[in-house]
Amino acid sequence: MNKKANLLHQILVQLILIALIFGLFYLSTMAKANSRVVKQQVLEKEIALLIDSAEPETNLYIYKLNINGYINKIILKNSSVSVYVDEYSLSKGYPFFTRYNVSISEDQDKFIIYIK
Amino acid sequence: MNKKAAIGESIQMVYRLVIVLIIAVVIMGNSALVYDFYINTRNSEAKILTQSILDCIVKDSKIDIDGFSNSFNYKNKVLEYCGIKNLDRFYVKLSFFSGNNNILILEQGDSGKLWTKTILENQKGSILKYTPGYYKSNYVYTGIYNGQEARISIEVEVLINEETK
Repeated sequence: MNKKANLLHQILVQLILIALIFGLFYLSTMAKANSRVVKQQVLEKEIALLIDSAEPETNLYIYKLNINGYINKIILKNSSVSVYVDEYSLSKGYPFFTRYNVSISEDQDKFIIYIK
Repeated sequence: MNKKAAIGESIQMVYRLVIVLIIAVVIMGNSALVYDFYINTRNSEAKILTQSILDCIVKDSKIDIDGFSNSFNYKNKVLEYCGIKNLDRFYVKLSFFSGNNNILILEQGDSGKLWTKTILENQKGSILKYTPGYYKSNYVYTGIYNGQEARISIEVEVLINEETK
């Protein structure tokens, strides 16, 4: 009985340790997948594609609080769009090529991109 | 259980844990590579650029080939003519056909960039994130050619290289 109990105890300890190790790696992988850099890349490319495909006299509304996090700032400069998500302050920006004039304004809860 | 057996089992447990750790590190390494997350939107950009250029050169669903041939100063600057920005990334070629005759070619950009596409097509791994966007398609419009209305087909080829910034 004592031997069986010992074996069970050892297996249990091993299983807990294995679960802990995999749990840690799973969490770190998830953290990387959901990182601000990824969210920023998604937002910049989505916005660039929207601008490129938009017809003149189109307004694009981008809410500050959205599925990809909280957008602090969007800058349109030298025909590229930079999005700053969750207080991440670095951005290379993503270029767009639209042949129309593009400008941006900030509202309380959203950014508005004007294509004219 | 005697003492030797207990020590033996403890060593075995450490051994198992080391194996688990190695497996976990391998999984972590692979997932880190997979989540070197890069979204390549260049193929979509190539399609959008194609539509944008067609919107620019086709007026009221018609193309004035005579107008292009006589007064068009943009044969090698079709993107500039259309007011497209960030030109460095693009190669665009529009071939106009009346029947089987190639009547006009408008293009802009470095056609050598097509080599990048050919080279990267046969590669594997993370280098693929540099694969250019590419779109080639044919369109048919009514147009004015030699003073007469004619069916004009356009072959559009667009290549978009990686962003340089």
